[in-house]
Amino acid sequence: MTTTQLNAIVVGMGELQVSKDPQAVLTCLGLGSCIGFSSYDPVAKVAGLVHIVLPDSAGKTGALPGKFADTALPALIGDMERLGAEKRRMLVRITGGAQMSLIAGSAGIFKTGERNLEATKIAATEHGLRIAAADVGGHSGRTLRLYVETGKVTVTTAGTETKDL
Amino acid sequence: MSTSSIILNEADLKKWTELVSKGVTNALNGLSDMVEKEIEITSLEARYIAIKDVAYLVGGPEQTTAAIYLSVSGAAEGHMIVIYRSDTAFDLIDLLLGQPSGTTTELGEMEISALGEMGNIVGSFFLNALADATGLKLRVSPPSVMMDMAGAILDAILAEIMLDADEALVMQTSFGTEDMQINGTFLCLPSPSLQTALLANWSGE
Repeated sequence: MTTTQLNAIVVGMGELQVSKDPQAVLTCLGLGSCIGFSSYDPVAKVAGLVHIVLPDSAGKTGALPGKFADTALPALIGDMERLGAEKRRMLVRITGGAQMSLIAGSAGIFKTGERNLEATKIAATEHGLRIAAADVGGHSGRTLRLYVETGKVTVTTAGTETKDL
Repeated sequence: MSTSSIILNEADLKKWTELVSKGVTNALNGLSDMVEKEIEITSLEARYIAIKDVAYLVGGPEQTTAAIYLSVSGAAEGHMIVIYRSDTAFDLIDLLLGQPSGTTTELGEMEISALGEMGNIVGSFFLNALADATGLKLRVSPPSVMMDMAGAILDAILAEIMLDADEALVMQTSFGTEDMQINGTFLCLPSPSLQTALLANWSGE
């Protein structure tokens, strides 16, 4: 925060945010099994970030389209297009989908990360988005930041350095 | 499972709080024996909050927290997570090792082992009390201790609740010994299936 005052916009579980404010930094904090799905149109300088929680809405229509991978992507694309973005220019970078358990071979909820990743990849293909970069899986929490002015995406893992994605 | 079974009415919420109080009391008795000091609950509160805000109860999604994860099988299936800030974990370790508060500032091998031991006691005493009260035969897994960002630890279990609801029932408690107050919030989050089974089999005091 040297020259300009940046403004962090936290995108909580199931939430979706789009912005073309150069000072905004769209942020998903502490992603585990959830997916931080970021998209950026470098020409229109429009950014979007969605915090995907679960793989499949199974036809449920809830208040939060960002909650499920299958409903999150069309919602994200639509909201970005309304700000002037074009789908063919969207640069997609994702993180999350970790398996947080330390219990070897434990099934059930801790497969959520894997299932989220799978569903997100399928949804991206269906909606004609190519995932340009991904830092996914593993066993650690991550924070994703998308800087609207530059389109830079960083990923921070607990106790380690922040790196560009 | 319908939404109504996750969002409890006032009477069920009261019942659930009573049941969890038993669990917490028993867990702290176990802890008390372990550290050979009297430990008392100073507060215990149950309430619903928006799922996306749950991590803020333990310092925010990015805050490093310690968590104990237990899975339950037998008459009821499910799992439970107990989560607290890392500074609370350090206080607990000091309590356990009989050191002045503030001695522990990071987790070495001995500290992780102490935390795991404590997780074992707290988790199994907690669930045993619930099993006794409900008459359900429950088997509790050995605890898994995790330290990571709160959001990351919580999101898989919250995701499961979020399938059916946008709010989660959280139990917050704080406790202390005569000469030391453990600061911090303990969050206890049962999976929907476990909560439903326990509540259905608990008739009250």
